[in-house]
Amino acid sequence: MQLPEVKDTFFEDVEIGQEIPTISMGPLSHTHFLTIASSHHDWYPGHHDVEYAREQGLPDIFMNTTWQCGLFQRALCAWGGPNSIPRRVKIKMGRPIVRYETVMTKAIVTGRRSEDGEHLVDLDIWMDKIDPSGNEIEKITTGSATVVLPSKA
Amino acid sequence: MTVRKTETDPSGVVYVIGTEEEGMSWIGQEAEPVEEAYPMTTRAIEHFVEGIEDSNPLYWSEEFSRQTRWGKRIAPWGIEVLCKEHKVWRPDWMGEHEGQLTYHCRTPLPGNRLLGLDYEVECYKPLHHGDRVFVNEKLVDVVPKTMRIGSGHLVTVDNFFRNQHGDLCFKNRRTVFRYRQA
Repeated sequence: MQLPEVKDTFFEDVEIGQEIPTISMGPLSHTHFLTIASSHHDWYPGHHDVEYAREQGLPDIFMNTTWQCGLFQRALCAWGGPNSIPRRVKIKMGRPIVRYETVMTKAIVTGRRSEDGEHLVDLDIWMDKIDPSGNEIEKITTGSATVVLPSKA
Repeated sequence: MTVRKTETDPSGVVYVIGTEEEGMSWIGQEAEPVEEAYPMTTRAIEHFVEGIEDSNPLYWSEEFSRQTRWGKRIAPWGIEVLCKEHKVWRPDWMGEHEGQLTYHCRTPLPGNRLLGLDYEVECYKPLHHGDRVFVNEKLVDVVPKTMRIGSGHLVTVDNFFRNQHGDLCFKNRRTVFRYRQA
């Protein structure tokens, strides 16, 4: 199995204002929604039953919170490398992500600090809906994160 | 054991029904740790990773992972969602199963539906194949709220996930809107 190369990002190499690589997924098909419900054990009907979601006043089935958190963790770990820890991810749900939409994670470094022997980087994180050309349509989920990075010291 | 009124939504989630005053009197309650039914498995890890389409070799390659601080494959940090998520059916749910429910559902309140709002997770140690997971939860807050979809309460619950050695692996805080559907 050929897997992508994953390298450590070192604390000393991070700068405030730095953006980390984005990750996009979509268009999210109904099959995606069912796969995610199964893989996350989340059978809340609003995530897979279109009629139920619409009865709740929502436009369509919508993606669950923990999938969004997982996607942010994927982006943070891909950037931080195999020895990093996504110590904290906090997100606030905005507009729902529904079928056939494509989303992209984004993050920007807002701070660097060392505490209790750990080297921590703070980030603002958010998720955009994007069009087929990759242009942002709207910001849908916002939050913050802290990642523990290895040090060269 | 007090038998409380319950309602079930279309996905099989059971809600204990009560008044706002009853619900608020539960704030601060903390449950005893409960061991997850099954240890973590490679199969569960890979299925979880499918959902986020993550090719990070930490989750897929033993050889790669041996060269990292973890020494072996790890479960992705978001794996804690596999614990405590509701199952559709369990054989021991044939009778009373209030004890199986999370505080989001078993706190007595008028609401019979849930909508996830805010989520925060802290990660300390990864889980590996074969690890046993023990979870305990605490009801942090119940706040009245009206949203477009109805009236109800913001219910905030902390969960603590420990492995078989007692190490705190993850902590999460989840706020849901528990509301009443007519």
